[in-house]
Amino acid sequence: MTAVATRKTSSSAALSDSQLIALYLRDQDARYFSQLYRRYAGKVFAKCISMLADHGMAKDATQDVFIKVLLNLSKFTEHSAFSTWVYSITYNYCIDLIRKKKKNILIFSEDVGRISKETEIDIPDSVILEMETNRLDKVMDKLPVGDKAILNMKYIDDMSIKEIGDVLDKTESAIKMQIMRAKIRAQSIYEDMYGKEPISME
Amino acid sequence: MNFSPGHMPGDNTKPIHSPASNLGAKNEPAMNNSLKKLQDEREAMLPPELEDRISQHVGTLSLFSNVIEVFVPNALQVVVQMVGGEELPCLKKANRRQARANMDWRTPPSSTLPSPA
Repeated sequence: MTAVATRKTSSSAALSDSQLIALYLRDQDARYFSQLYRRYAGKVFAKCISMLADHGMAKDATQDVFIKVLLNLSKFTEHSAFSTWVYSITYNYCIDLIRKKKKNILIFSEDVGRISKETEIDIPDSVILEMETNRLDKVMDKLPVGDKAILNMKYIDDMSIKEIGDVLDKTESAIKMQIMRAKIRAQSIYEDMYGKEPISME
Repeated sequence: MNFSPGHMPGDNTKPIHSPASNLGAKNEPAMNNSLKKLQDEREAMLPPELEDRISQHVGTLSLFSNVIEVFVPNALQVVVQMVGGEELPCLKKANRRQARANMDWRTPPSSTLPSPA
């Protein structure tokens, strides 16, 4: 790599996402896009594994998500953070992929209709957040893909209810209900797998 | 270091909102976040060859857009002339010469974009 190229790469590391996007659109220099890739690839890949539960599919999905990001970069408006935009592409891509792969699959817990009105009580966040990671991994694998997406958006990406609603094209009250149902479902899967063992390992 | 989205290292955009607002919603003490731990573990599994594959795509797209930029106006010109039309104004040699003559090469074009250097 030449001295100029090295200087360009190291200086681009200090730039914000918006600056990198503007520079990439102006210069079409792949190094600016690489910088964006390095910032978000790990997180996108982790989300794809969480949603698709398959390493190979997650790898292909990560590639497809970044190609989508690249092709639509000029359409990105700064109404939300770039990270939120990238993650929303990731979640919707994975949900669509699962839908195409398994035509009759349930996307959200509310579709099941097995959760009765009586169980619709406020479940604490600790049901998810304090579960031992190996067990949480197994519980998450059994959740419908939409529930996984909603829990990831709320507890990993720290998105607001409104932002989650915008990503999934649902109302805020529907999202609140689905978060609660996802937690109820996670708790019931945990109890099926581990009985009455306490969730928190501390 | 804070790794929440919207506040990546080297990213000075504002975070969506602070993680504390989610974890301790009812003034509860901050709790573990096993989901974030799980994500951190999975991030480390990112295949390194993926970056090369995406770089190739970026390069191909860039080349393709350059080819279109260079050849499409000329191809269009040929079609226009074949159907008996006039030369496109942007491709007229006199116009291009005039544009070059009016250009001040000593001063760089003004730009609102930040300089990478």
